[in-house]
Amino acid sequence: MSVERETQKPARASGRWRRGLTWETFGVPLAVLAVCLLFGLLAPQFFQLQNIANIGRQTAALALVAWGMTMIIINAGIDLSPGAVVALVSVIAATVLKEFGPAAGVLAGVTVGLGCGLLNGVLISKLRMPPFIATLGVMSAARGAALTYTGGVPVFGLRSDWFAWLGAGSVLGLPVIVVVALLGFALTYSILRFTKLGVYTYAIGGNETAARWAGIPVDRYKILIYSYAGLLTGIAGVLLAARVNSGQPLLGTSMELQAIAAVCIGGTSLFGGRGSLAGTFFGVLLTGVLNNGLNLLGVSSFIQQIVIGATILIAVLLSLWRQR
Amino acid sequence: MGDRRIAVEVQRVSKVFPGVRALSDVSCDFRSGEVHALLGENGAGKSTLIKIIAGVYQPSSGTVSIRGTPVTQFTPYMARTAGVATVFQELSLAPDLTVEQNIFLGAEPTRLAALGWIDGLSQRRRAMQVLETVGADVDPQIRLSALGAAQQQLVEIAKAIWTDPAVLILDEPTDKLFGEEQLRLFDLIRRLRERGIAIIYISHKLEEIHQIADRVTILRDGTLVDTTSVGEVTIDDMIRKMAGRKLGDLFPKISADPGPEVLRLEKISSAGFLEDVSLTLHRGEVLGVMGLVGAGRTLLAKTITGVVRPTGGRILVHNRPARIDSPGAAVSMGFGFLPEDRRTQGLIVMLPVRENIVLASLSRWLINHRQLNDMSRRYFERLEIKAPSIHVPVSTLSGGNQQKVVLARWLCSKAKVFIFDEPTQGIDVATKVEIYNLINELTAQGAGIIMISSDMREILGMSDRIVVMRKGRVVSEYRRDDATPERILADALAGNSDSSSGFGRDNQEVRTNNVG
Repeated sequence: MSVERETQKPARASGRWRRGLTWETFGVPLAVLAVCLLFGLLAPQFFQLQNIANIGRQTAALALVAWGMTMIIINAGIDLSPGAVVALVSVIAATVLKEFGPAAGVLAGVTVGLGCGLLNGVLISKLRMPPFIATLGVMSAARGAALTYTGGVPVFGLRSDWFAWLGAGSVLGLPVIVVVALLGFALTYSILRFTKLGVYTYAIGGNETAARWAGIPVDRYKILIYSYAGLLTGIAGVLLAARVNSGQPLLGTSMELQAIAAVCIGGTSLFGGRGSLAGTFFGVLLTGVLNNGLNLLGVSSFIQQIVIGATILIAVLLSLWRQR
Repeated sequence: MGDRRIAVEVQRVSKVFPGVRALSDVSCDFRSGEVHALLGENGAGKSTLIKIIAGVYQPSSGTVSIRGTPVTQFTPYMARTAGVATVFQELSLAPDLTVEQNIFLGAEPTRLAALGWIDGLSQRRRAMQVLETVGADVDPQIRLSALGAAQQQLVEIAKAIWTDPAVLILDEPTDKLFGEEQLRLFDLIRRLRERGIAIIYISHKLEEIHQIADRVTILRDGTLVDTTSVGEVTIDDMIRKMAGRKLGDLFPKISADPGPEVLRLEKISSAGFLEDVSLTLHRGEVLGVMGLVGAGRTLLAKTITGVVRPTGGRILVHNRPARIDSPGAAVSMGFGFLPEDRRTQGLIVMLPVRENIVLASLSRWLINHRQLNDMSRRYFERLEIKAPSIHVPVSTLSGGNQQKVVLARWLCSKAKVFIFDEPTQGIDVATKVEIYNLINELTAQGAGIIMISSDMREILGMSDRIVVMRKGRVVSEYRRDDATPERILADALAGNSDSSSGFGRDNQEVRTNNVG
């Protein structure tokens, strides 16, 4: 009986999970398009190749974090740590690089990111801590570690052309960091769509008890998900360090919130079980384009924050209206 | 009765949802001072009809009149003001508020109304009055969560009737009630009827209808089959009308020859509650597990499937000691579990049917979508799951079909040992029979099934052997031919001599209503 009522709900929810003609598939891309056209009209330099590459450079690291965040949020979790972890990664990568060379630096940075993700996963699954609290703790600790490790002073003097190329160079006409972010997208998309881990990410996020009772080793998969997100955060940290060619203990401030915002704009449900990486892609793109365009127009960064905030609210409102 | 005042009149009402015609051209009336049962299988349109009367849905066409006045605005608030009170199946109370706060929620008696200052004294006095009316001996200032299910329901009814409604809609009111609680609810319903309220009564338990209803309206596939006085129909008639065809035996049991042992529990204890539980299960056998609610049946199921770890004893699978320390381990040993509450424990309702079916069968790391489609479609078709496709979310399916999805998952994973916990609870008659047929099919193919149920007829009808549990122990075992409801009930109740007064005490209840 109780379920009979459910039968009468129109089956719109399906569209969010399957690909279909939905707001999530076209709404945000259309918004991106509209915003681009607007900026193109107002600021002629917006559509110059140089500027488009800039948008890519400015959003690549955020994008990597957002891919991982999408998986975590579909899994009905949340991760507040990536901003701080990015800082820790950058200072460790920078100091190791000075000591042992660029390859070791990159490896160390990525490993630190992976380790922080692993820690998040273990705290959440094995020790049963709420994701919000666990990652809040890791966030604070990671930021503190980055500051302690450097005494609050940036690590400069990275004399490696290869490392600098990671941040500023390009392959096939695309900035390296954009290429890495796109590869990250392809990998994450494949995981969500073509692997068991992907199906289980949705299943655990949708109903953890039922997933457990269906025989899924829930703890193991949660650890895997947070570790993978940590890995992406590690890569993002290294790329950001390469971009500024230094280790910065204050790097990535509020990056986790920007990533969560991009995921939300992309239509992924904060309650878990529903969402898409394609949505996040356009969510990231929208925030990136807005930031860049407003910069070009000389709008102050203070006002930019208001615009981004309004965008989040409008996106969520539209998605709520749609569900009526 | 014909000259009684009509409280609600439904005229040629239709309701169309995108892709579904939930009601077509239904006309009926509900009169003051009658209990009017509304029957139909899942998806027949009962819920849609009462939701239209309760103002939750707006009809696509047709009219509804309450006390002779046509309804123009369909909102729950307007319906309530016009005199429609509803007690939905899932109680809509706030567990952390007090009883009186719950009763008057949203309509608190106020002093200085603009300030929203609640008149506590008046609220208490009126709460006590209405609680007395419904026969609930409850302190209005106690927190709701401190009450048992039966008393919470009385509070819900109190909340519904204090406004003096013309119509009271009760949706599956006896679902969570047992024995004497149920009789007391019937008394209350009769008293409310005498006060001239029209009562719309929805239930799956057809035995109740003759006890409580005056008239019966039966819906099927969104259309009205007929409305009759209850004296003119038998239970068989009602089933036939609901199903639209003559049903065969409700329990089409086919006994297979039991094969070798597949599962043995030796002196299993768990969390200080299960004590020395020993039992065996063979290929091709249905082992019925009967007991009062709280006798440890569900805990037993959870222990076998690795959700709860036993604190003592051992489990043998195919005569070999097995370590089942997680549901994953149980699944890899070929177990399948149909949990008691499919929505919270069995299904991921926002995910498509397909994902829910294949969930326990993903052996490889990489996924081949075509293969998953084929795999899930096979069981989707075999179980005749009624849904537009394997790609719609499970939440859009009816209860019986949702249960079939959980079953399909374990057929898909090639489970050989099944643990069914209340497999047909809240499921319409036709789907029940389908599930029983499937049980026959499974045992014929050599599966062993442990079936836990509160429905005595189901246990007696479908089991090859029956064990009775009481207070965490197995107290007796019967072969199919030796089992009688009286003996089983006596074993389940023995030593619980105080149970006859166990009103509202969850651990001493049995669904005596199902006994025959």
